[in-house]
Amino acid sequence: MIRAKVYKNRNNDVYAFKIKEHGDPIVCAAVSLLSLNTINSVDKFTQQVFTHSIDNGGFLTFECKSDTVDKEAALLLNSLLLGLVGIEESYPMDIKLTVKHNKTQ
Amino acid sequence: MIKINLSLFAHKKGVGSTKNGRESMSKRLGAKRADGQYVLAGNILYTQRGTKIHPGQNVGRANNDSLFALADGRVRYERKGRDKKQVSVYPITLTT
Repeated sequence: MIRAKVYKNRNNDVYAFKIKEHGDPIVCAAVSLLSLNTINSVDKFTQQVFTHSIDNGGFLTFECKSDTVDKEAALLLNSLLLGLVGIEESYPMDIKLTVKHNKTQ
Repeated sequence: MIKINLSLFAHKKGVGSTKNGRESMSKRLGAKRADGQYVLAGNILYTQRGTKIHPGQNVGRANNDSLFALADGRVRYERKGRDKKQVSVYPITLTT
């Protein structure tokens, strides 16, 4: 089962996420594409400063440096969350999504 | 830019698919009449592919290699030479 944790700041915008472990090939491909494309999009289309780490054994993290996420990055990251919620609805046995609200950020 | 790796969260890396997974219906081949059993002409004695068992006396071989009785009588499974088998039907007069 893939485990995805998405962190939201006080503006209710996603500012970080962590995805790990393994799952069904179809779900894996969807989650991989969604998350990697989100990172590439934030990198290419926005000025948002962020850090990320990736391990091909099934581990991916992403975090925005500033406590306020710029508009475009927020749109992309919230879109990622929307996609993960949709996948979890269709494949509840293959992915577990947790959304954490971080009041300090 | 991160390279898109669709199997980032996959279980097994690069496992191909199998080309197996098909099977045909079993054809229930084999003996249909036992040794010593009384049969009528036309009864099928043994269904097979090829000649596991050869036709003996009063036994015919159909197009699908099945062996059938050519006369009423009792079935006998016998040896044929060193390593072959045959089935024969020996007519008997039934006492009533």
